[in-house]
Amino acid sequence: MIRGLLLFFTSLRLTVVLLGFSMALVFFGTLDQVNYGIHETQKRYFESFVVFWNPLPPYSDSNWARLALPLPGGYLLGTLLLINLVAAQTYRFRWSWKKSGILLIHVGLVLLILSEFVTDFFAEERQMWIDEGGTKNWSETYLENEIVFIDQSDPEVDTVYAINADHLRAGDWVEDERLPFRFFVEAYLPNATIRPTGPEENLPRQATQGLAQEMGLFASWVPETFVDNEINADTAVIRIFDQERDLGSWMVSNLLDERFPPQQITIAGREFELALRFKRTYYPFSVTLADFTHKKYPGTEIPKDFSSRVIVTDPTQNIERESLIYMNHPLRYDGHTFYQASFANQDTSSMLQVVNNPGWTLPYLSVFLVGLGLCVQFGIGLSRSRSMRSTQRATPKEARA
Amino acid sequence: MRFLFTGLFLLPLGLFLGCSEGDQDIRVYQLTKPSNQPEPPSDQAPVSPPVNAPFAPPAARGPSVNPSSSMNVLPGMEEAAAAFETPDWRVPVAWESLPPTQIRKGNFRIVNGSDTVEVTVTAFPGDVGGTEANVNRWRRQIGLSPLPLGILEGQMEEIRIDGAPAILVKLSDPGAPAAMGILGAIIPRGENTWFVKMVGNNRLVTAQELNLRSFLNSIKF
Repeated sequence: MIRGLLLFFTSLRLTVVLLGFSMALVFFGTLDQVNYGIHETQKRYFESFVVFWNPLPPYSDSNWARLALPLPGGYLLGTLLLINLVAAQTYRFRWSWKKSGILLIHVGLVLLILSEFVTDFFAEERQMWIDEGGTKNWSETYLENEIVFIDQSDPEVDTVYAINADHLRAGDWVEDERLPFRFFVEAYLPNATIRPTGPEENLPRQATQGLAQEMGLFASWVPETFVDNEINADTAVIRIFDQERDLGSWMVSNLLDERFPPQQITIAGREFELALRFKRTYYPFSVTLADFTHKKYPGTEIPKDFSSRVIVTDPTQNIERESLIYMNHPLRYDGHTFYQASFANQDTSSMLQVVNNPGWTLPYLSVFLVGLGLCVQFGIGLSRSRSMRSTQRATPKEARA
Repeated sequence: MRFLFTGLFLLPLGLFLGCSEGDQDIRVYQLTKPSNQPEPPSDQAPVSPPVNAPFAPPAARGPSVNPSSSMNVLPGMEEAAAAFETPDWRVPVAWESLPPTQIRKGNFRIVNGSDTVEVTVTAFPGDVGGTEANVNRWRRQIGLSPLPLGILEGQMEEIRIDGAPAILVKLSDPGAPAAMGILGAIIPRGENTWFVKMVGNNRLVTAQELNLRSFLNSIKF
C-alpha cells in the first residue's frame, strides 16, 4: 500500500499529467475571464481544489448551464506537484556532487510553488484615493466588504468592531466574545439595488430601524457582477441583540455610504455607528498627496505621464519622507508598495495601489536558484566532457609509448 | 537532505491548515478620533466607482475639491432627484457654474489662487435623518466629532429662504493643517429637504460667506 503510494507520487507520469492539467487550467481559465473577470477567475481556477468550466455566462437560464467540465483547481495541482517533486527528489534522487545543479533547480521549483501559496495567503492589494492636500492612513478594497460597529463613546478613540461580510449568508448568527453584541443575518444580497418606495407601493418593510425604516428604502436582489471595474452593492439586513434584548433589524449596504446620515445604535448604553463598507486596512503612518501631475502629449488628450508627489509621515518612527510615485517607480515603505494606479477629479485626486506581499522576494530567489542550477549542471557537464576528451587524447600517446 | 524536503513538503500543508481566514473574520481595533489626527478627515470616502456601472473614465468625473463630492448614485435616487424642480436663483459673479450631475441640482466652483471651494445644491425626500444627523454628517466630512443637538444649536443660525424658515450652519476645523470648512443651509420644503453646501478651504469659505447668503436669498421655489 505504502509502496504503491510512493510509486504513484514519485512517478514521472504523474508530473506529466499534472503539467497537462495545469496547461488545461490556464487555457479554460483564460476563456472564463470573459465571463468572470480576472479576480473571480483567479479565485475559481487557481485558489480552489476543483473547478467546473462551462462556456455559458453566469446566471444563464439554459439547460446546458447544468453541464460542466470538472478540472482540478490550482490548490490541488500545486499541492500534488509539490508532493510529486519532493517525493521524487527524496526517494529517487541519489545525491552526488555531479547532480548538484539538478538539486538546485528542484529547490528553485519547490520555492516557486511555495511562493504562490505565500502570495495567495498573505498578499494584500488595496486602493488608496487621496485628494491633493489630503491625507490618508487607510486603504480599502472594492472586492471585500465588512460590517462595522464603531464605538464612539470614548472621547479620544473609536473602537471598531469589523466583521468580514463576504462569508455571511442569510440565517447566520454572528456571536463572539470580543463583540459586545450579537446579530442575526436576516438577508444577505451579494449585489442589490436600493430605492425609495413610493407611497402607493405595498412592499414589505425589510428593516424596522435605521435609514431603511426612516427613508422607506427597499433592497432588491440583482445578479452579481464579475466584470472588472464593476463593483457589487453588498446589502444585508441584520437583527441586532444586546444580550437577549432585540434592538430591531437594520439595513446596511455599501450603497449607504457617506452621502447618508450615519446609522446610530445604542448598545449597552454605548453609542455605535453601524455600516457595511468596503474592507479597510489602517496603517500606523499616513500619506499626504502634495501634488498630482498629469502630462499629455502636446495637442492631444493622450496621457504621457502621471505622477504623485507624496509625503509619508510616520509618528511611530519619527519619519517624514517625500517621494515621487510614477509609472514603474513605486514607493516602498514599511513592507508596502505604493503604485501610481489612477487619477480623477480633473487631475486633483490620485489613486495609489497599495500592495503588501511578504513573499515578493521568493520568485526572484527561485528563478535565481533555477538559473544557478542550470549553470552549475552545464558547467559540470562541460568539465566532464573536457576531461573525457583529454583522457582520450592521452590514451593513444601512452599506447604508442 | 530528506529532512529538508520533508520540511518543504509540510510547509504548504501548514499554510492550508494554519492560515485559514477564520481568525480574520472579526477584527477589533482602535482609532484616534479624526479631529485628533494631524490630518484632514480620514473617514472621507474615496472617489467610489459607480455601483453596477463601470468605473467612469477619469475625464468624465465631475470636478471636485473633496472625494466625497464624487458621488455614486443610489438606484432610484436619480429618479427622485429628477422629480424635484430646480428653483430659480441668482449665481454670484465669482462662481463658476458647472454642469449639474445626476443628483446635484446646482453645482458651482470658486477658485482663488490655490484655494478651491465647491457649492452644491441637492434635494432628498423626507428629513434625511433630521438636523442633528445632517449637521453631524457634515462635521464628519471635515474631521470634526459629532455633537449632540443641544450644542450644535449654538452653531446654527435660523434664516429664511423664500419666506420659509431654514438653518445655516458654519463648520470649520482650525486645528487641521489644510483647514477645511463647510457653510451649509438646510432648507425643509414640504416633505422634502434641500441642502446648499459650500465646502473647501476654510479661508475661501469664510470669504465667500456673503456670496452664499446672497445666493440663498435669491432662491425662489
